[in-house]
Amino acid sequence: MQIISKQVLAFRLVFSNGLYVGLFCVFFVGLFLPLVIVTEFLFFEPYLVFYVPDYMIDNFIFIIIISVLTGLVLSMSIYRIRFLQSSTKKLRTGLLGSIIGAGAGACCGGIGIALISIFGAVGGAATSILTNFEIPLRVASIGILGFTYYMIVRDLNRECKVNLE
Amino acid sequence: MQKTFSILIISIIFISITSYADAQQIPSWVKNNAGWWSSSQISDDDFAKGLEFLINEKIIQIPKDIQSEGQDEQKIPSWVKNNAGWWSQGLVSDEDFLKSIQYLINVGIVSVSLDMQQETKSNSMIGSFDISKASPIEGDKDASITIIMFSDYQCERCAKWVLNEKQEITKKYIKTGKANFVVLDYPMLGDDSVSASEANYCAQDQGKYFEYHNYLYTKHRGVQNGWANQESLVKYSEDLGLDSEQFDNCLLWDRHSLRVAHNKMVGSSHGVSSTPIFFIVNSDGNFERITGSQPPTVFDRVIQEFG
Repeated sequence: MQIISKQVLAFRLVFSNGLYVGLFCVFFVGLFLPLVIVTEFLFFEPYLVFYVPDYMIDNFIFIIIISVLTGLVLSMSIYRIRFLQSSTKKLRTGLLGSIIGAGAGACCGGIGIALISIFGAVGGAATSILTNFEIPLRVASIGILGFTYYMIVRDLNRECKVNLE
Repeated sequence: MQKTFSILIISIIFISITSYADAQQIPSWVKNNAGWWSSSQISDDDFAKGLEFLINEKIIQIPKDIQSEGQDEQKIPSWVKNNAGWWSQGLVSDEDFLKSIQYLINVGIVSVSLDMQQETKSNSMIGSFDISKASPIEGDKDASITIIMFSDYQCERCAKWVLNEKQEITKKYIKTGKANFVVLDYPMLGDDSVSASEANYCAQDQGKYFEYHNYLYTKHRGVQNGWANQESLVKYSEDLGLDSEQFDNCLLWDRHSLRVAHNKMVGSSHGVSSTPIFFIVNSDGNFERITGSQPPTVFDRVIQEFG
């Protein structure tokens, strides 16, 4: 119960300000949209199609979780930096988690090809790693983002003794 | 050692080589073959496969206007073998070596299969797509719609599309004769992608292209992590009951490397830069591009519009 109340407090603290709701939306959409394009859930040609096949449902759920956590972590980190003059360490950790999650599964589409064409053999090796360890990387990304989120919530509860009533 | 040189089987023999094509296209395995043949490490037949490759890839071009009669057993002059050895060591130019091959053909020692040449010619173009070196055509060759797939065997999305989505397209269009299906290679995810593409043509040599193609996709396990290396590819050929020694040799000598490179070039010339990419081509040669592993409903709509 205490954990939930801490979450609620942190949420109310940050997202009572409309600016941070907007920031959350920007970060969420900013990651979710490219990921569903790169992982081929959203197609633009020859017709606009959004398609999540049964055999890719786990991948799609991972993308939603990573995008939501990224939106939360980044917007809450910015709040802490602006109002509590905290360090940017957690923001950087959050970004790291997002990048790992976004890169995982880069293969035949945009990211993989870009890596190979720009960085040659090194890019090829990176593509191999990102593809072969897609699920572990996504889990690691969620782990990093989850941990960062937990730390931010804990810090917000500790640093802000605000009576919201 | 004086063996006869009966390269190919069919009766019609062509005489005289008209031109030496770009010598730079001669793959290194042919040169290596020549060196080993000159030192009697491989048989005449093995060396002949290299020559057959040069002819079929049009590195050596042969006119069709003159036909020779049946071939008698003949001996390979020793100077040809010497030439091959010098050529492999770089002491003789490509052009000089090709001249010696011309001699072999002129005197009827080397013959070329007309069947093979005609097969290559007969189904060479679908719209603006050169499919002369593509996979065999799956379905009715005279179907009004052709679905061309550019794929990389290490590409996860390609594998998932073939294993999950293609069945519906096969059932609706390929089996009913409304469309046919052709695969062109676009290997881009490393050396194993190239080997995997070549392996399919090695399987085709033994009459099992699509069996191998589909089986290979069921074995997909990622990128450059061994599932598509030569050892694994040969293992799959054994699983399908192919002659694994012949298959292994085919892969070892990169016998279909130019074929794969050619197909990739066809893709590049049509703006392919990722996989899978499909082109739905109608009988007028017009085409619609479908990028990515899209659902069968998209194919339905495109085919209906074209129909």
